[in-house]
Amino acid sequence: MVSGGSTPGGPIAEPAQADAGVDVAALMSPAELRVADALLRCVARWGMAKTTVEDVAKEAGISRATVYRLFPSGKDAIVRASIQAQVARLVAVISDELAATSNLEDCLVAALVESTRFITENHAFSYLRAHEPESVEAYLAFDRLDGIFGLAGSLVSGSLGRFLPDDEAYEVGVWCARLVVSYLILPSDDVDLAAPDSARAVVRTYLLPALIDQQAINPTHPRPDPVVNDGPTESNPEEP
Amino acid sequence: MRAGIRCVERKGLQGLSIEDVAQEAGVSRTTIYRYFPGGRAQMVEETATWEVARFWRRLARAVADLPTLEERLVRGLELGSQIIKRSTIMANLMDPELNELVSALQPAEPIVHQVIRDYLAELLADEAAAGRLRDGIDLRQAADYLTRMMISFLGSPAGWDLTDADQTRRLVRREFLGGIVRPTVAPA
Repeated sequence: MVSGGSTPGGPIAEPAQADAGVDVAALMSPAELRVADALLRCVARWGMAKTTVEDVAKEAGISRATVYRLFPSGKDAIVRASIQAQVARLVAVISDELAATSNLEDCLVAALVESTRFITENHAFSYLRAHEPESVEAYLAFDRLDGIFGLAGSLVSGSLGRFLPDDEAYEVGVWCARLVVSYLILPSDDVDLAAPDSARAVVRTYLLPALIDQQAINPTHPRPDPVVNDGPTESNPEEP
Repeated sequence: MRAGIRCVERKGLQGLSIEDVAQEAGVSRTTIYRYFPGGRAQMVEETATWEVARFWRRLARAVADLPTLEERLVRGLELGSQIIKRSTIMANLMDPELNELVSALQPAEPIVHQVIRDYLAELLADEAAAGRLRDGIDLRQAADYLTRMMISFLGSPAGWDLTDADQTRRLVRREFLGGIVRPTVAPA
């Protein structure tokens, strides 16, 4: 999905992910993006711990002072920007796949499978997972993840919105992002979200029944931001 | 370890030194090194892991008398997020310290996951015996799923206010148990 540019195991050329423009550009300036991408290339080469702001500046072809002007708090802020840019690209890359689905189940399966694949194929991520697993977690921990989940949820809610009300689409988008991250951090023997069959089993077992039966389960429907809830029950019959 | 935690609460993780802890505990540096031959890194790792274990034990105790899995999950999420919000250690953590803490906790993570999963599998078995589970639910896999959700939500609620009982109940019924527990009202 990284548009031909990067063959796994090949030379560490920065994944030539065609920027579907809008999304990433809305998040940060071109200069910030240049720094964020330079960091990913450095990390793919020698890992997170050894990458300094100096390295990133050199890789980006700009001065250290400029990097600090863009990111006053330094490396951690650059890492966060890199992750944001990658999330936006991920969503841009998978949105075609999601748009091609014709029902909620297929859409959820595609979201889980394609995002898991996109992330595991990323060179910076795969280097870290192999050599510095603790740094993967450090950037996917606690409140740092809240921002990533929120971003992923709002970006993917457009696709899910074809099958769900808007606020629910956002929630379910965050739910999917949560599952993807959980299985990346701690892989499971039973579940591999990169495999369509396995992802479909998760969707069918844990996600769909909750979405289909929710009226029946919880008629009062208390939620953070009240929704207009129309129909008495969804018309989808329960899966056997 | 208690002395170590008090030091971290006061000065933050980066300021933590063997000397401080020895002083706080009223023992010599040599004694500390006898307990933690690996020095500061080992002390941080073991203290952090000990705190995590204490956190989960506290949740398990708090929910022990509740009648259903749903009640226990709701209460566990509520209490857990309150503890995390109140924790001076978590609140004062700066970026580099968070990195250090997460690194320190990482080796213990699969074990923590396994312990919570086994605990939840037992609760699920009770639910199954009471006829409350949907057909075809694999207890071990469902317990694994619930463990992931629990850990994920306590770490990153992402907009959910888990101290709000109504929100938390809705969350548990839907995202945690929606596919596992039979709907209480038959679907139309």
